[in-house]
Amino acid sequence: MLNEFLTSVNSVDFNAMFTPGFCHYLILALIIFIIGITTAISSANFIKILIGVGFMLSAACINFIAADTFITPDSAPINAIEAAESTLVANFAPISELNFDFTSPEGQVIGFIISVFIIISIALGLGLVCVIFSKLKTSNLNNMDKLKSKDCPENEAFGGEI
Amino acid sequence: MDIIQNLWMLLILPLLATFFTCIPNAYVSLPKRRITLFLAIFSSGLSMLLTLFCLKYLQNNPGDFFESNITFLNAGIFKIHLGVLLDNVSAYMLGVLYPISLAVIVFSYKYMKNEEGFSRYFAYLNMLVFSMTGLILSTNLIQSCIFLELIGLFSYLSIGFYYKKPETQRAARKTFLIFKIGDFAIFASILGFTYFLLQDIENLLYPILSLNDVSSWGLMAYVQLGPGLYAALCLLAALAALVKSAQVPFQMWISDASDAPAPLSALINGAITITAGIYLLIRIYPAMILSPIALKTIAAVGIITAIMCAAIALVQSDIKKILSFSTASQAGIMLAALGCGAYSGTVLHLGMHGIAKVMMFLIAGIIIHKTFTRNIKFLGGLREYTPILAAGWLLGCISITGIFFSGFYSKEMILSHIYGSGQFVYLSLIIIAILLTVLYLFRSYFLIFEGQYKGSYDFSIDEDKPYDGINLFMLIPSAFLAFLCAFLGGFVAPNFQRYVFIIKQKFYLTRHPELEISMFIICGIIIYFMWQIYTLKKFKIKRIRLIYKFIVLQFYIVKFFEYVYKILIKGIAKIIKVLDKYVISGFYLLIGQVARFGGYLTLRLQNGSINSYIFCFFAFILAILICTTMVYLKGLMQYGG
Amino acid sequence: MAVNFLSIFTLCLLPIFAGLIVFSPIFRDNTVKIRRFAKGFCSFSLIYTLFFILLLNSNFNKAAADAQNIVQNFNFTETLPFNIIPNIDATISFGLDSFSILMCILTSFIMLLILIVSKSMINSKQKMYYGLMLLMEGILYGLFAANNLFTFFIFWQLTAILAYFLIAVWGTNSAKQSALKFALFNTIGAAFMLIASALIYAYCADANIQPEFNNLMQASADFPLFMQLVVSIGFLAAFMIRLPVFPLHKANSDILYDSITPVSMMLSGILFSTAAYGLIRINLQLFYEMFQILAPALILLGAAGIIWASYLAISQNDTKKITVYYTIAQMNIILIGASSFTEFGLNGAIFHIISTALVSAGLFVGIELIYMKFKTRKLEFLGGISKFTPTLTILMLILCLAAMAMPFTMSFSGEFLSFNGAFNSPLLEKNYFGTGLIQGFIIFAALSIILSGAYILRLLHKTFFGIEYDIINDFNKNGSAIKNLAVNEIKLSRHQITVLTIIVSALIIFGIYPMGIIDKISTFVSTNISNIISTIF
Repeated sequence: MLNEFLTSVNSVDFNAMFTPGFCHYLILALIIFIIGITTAISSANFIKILIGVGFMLSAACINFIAADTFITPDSAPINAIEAAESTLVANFAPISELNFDFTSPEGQVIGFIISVFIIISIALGLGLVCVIFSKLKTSNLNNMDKLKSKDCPENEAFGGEI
Repeated sequence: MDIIQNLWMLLILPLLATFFTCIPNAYVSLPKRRITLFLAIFSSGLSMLLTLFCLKYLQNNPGDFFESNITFLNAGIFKIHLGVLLDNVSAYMLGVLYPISLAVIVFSYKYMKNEEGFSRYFAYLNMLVFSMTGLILSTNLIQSCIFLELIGLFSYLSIGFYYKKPETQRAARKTFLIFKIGDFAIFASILGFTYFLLQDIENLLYPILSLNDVSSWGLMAYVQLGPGLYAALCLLAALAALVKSAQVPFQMWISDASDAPAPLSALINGAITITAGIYLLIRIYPAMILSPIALKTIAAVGIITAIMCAAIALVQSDIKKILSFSTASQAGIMLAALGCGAYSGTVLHLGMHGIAKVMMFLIAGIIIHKTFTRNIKFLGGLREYTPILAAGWLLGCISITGIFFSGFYSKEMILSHIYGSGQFVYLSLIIIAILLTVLYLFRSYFLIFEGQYKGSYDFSIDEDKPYDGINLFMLIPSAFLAFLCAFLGGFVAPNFQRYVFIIKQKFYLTRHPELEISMFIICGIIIYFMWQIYTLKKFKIKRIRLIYKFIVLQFYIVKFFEYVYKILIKGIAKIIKVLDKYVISGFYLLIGQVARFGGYLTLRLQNGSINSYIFCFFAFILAILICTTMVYLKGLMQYGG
Repeated sequence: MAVNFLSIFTLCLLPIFAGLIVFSPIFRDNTVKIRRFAKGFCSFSLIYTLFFILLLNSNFNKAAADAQNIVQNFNFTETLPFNIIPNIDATISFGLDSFSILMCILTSFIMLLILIVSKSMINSKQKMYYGLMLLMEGILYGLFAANNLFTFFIFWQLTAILAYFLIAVWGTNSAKQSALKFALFNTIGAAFMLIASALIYAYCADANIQPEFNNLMQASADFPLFMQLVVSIGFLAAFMIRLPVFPLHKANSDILYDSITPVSMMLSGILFSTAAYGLIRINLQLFYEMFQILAPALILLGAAGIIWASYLAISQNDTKKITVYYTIAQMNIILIGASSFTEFGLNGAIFHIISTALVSAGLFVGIELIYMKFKTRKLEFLGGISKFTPTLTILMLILCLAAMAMPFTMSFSGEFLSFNGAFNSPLLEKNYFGTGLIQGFIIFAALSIILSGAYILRLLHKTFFGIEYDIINDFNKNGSAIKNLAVNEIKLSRHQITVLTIIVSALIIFGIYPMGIIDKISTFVSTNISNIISTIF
């Protein structure tokens, strides 16, 4: 078994390697998004929420860049129907063909904008945290319930800490 | 003179008399009293003359009848007519009614002379006469229903005449409620019969449910309903008659009816209300013939009433109550006779009994007026002091029991019919009832007029006065009725069956002398024994306490009815009140609670925890996204690209 | 020439205008002047409505109409010249025929009686009261004279709003709650009615039909069946809630009890009758095919309601509650008469609307008079009043006899015809419950004759006859006792005696001569309804 492993490490078959496709990037972005949303919803710390928001935005960013990479003008599904019979592998192997197309950079531009947006939102959020902390002396979300109506019954479904 | 105009005058005269005397004054001055009396006498007297004229005409032209209708209500197909119908039966009943009312009017003038509510009294009197006239002359069943309700109304008002006494008002209220049962019964039967009549719209004759051809609408209902349900429908119509003539489940009101002023209670008990019920049955008799079950039921109810009420009358000690239960018992005998088919005998007995009973009520009124007591235990031996009254009372007793005078003819007709048609069970039961009648009537005679006087009125002050100190206004009506009672029967009865009959019904004209003579002998023996018991005190009657109590409480029927009232009316009312308060208001509260629950759910979102707000935010966005995607995909699939 | 001054717009707008005058600062809280102005105006309205029926004979009299070859339905109409909602041609349009003018006369008559008798019963906020009453009168005229579903709906909602104010301001302590419940349930019904009207208007705009009642009566037979069903049920929901049909009677009984007597008279006399009017006009005339399906259920509910209300009345110890449940029972009798699909049943139902209005008004007045003198409504504390007022005793006796449907009073004819109509209804053979079952139930409902005798007599005897309540021996109970009051005689004021006498004489006169009113009703029924009845499938 050790021999097979050494053999496989030495002889890298680029064609048999696993090349990530569009949906893998989408799934990656989804996982990161879910992590981000879970953190944002169920944390009692303000900063954790900001981190979660950052995760969500990053996931969106990944989505855009992956879309830019994999979707070209002639990769529309209707073209793929004709081209799929002959070049099935060619659509999913950009690295082997070194088939970079720099003519439609929209996805990457939006990726830049999103990262700027992440920075701005986190900055604003940290500013809010400072103000709130100076007023309420706490950054625990469970203590900020001034909007609670007097008749509301006590429950643990929302507002509990994970 | 036009007969139809006569008949309409008969209806209008008492109304006019009422209208002009209805002056709401407590004490009426003498001139007004005389005017009231004059108007009432004029109305009844003129009516009597017109009736005699009609009777003479009918005697000369037998088989004629007159009918005239006005439209009271015209609502499309359904019309209610009020009218007058003169045929032999109604002429006979009118001929009996007006002498009675005339006598009562003259009697009441003296009776009510110093009492409060004089004009109100005469208004009630005239309206009772009007209602009875309307019922007798009615041309269709709906008019009978209307006038029957009016008779009930004015009986109620008469019983509650002394409105300042609470006990009379309670009695009046019970009476009216019992009459309402009869009203419901006749109303429901009208509903039923009209339904079948309106099935055949092309051949509809007006007035609806005409009493001229009862058999036609009876037949229509019988054909569609079948014997069982038709018997039920007939029994509904008969229920009204049973209620009005105080038959057994409903006899409670008759003892309360003696709370009315004496002459009015004479009218109610003797001549008007009880007679009205039986008259209704007489009118719809052709429809009831089709259903022998109904006839037999009526006969059974009648004979049970006769025996029960006779037993109750045997243990009463109030004069008027004895007479009231006697009326109920005689009504029972009449219904039994009608159920067995003795149509003419019943009609004759209706009139004769009315005259005799009203006369006895008037005499009782005189006695009460003089001796100030109603209890026969405090009377006795009045024959020495007032032989006139004793003679009248004896006359009435003999007539009602059917030994001699007018009642003899009617009783004999009934008995010979039943004997001739072979219904021996009913024959024996009716004979038992007649013997019980002898018992209680002569018990009352012997206890009041024979023996020692046990009361406290001093008769010596009347010894020198003419007519034993009885006022002429009270004496003459009683004498007039006594005269009629003695001789009217012999005058009317011999040819009665030629005039009053039902087509296609067998009637038994043969007289059965063996029956008459045996009845005569048995009654004579009983009277002899009673004379021994009550006057000579030869034997003593032992009271069996249990049976006595049972009879006195009117066989516990009164208690049973109070129990029924409590359960059927008050009990169910309580249940429905609880149901209404909790179930139906609960429905309204439910709607309110649903709204409150929605509010509760929404309130839980306002919980001040920011995490929940964030969650809702994202959930909302997710929902919008999903909806948009679904719409987009659906659009894609439908329209392709 | 003589008919030129008759105009329905004047009829409806003048009382509204007068009400606004009362609200304005012209009268300055002078209660006497306000009262006299209101009463005078109401009598003027009464005379004006009577002129309609006297002068416009050709519209309301079949023989005259045939002589002049005029079609009977609604040929006296008036419409606003402009559209209020332009896209669907919705405008305010009025029209009168025999039924409408009869209801208008009833409204003006009862309003006049109410205003006469409220002199002694309203002791605060008179300006608002008389203003609201005059407004209510105008709006009721508008409702009865509506020729158009839009008009009908507007005035229906306006009556509910005004009724809320009339009940809540002068009522008992729980009047606000009852009025709120009534307004809420009325709005639920009106929501259904709004959907139904909107459907009809949309369809008419599509199919180019003028949505006036005249046209709809002929055209509604061609509507798609499912739409007819939905629209019928929508309108029926609104009418069932206001005419108290059996399960939905609680809100109405509460407001009748909690409001002050003149308002109770108006509610029981006219407001509940607007639901009956709507039922006959819209459900029976416009959508008769669907009504044939719904009518047996209505008869069943009506019969159940009669028994339910009668039993409820027996168990009460409060004089006003007995009258309230009496009114509800009579309304159910009107319902079974109106849904009977026979000419005489419908005649009886409309006649019974008029008689119930009069009898209920009289009973409410009588009870209030007792309350004003003895300050109690409970039967156990009243008794023996007849010693003090022979006049009131006689009047209440005749009123109670009329309530029990004694012959030769108005309610006898109404009840008799309604029950006969329901029993002979041609729909009952083809219904889904089985032959004879509903008819047996109607006979069971006729037991209300006995029950009404029981509770009305209980009311009469426990208040007027019977033993006076003796507070000295029953010192545990609270309440005013009659023995304590040291009255020798109770004097009634002229106004109260006048109102009661007018009601009693009207009951007896039209009881002896019912053809005076049934003539007018018959023209309506025989021209409009007989061709409907002949189309029963």
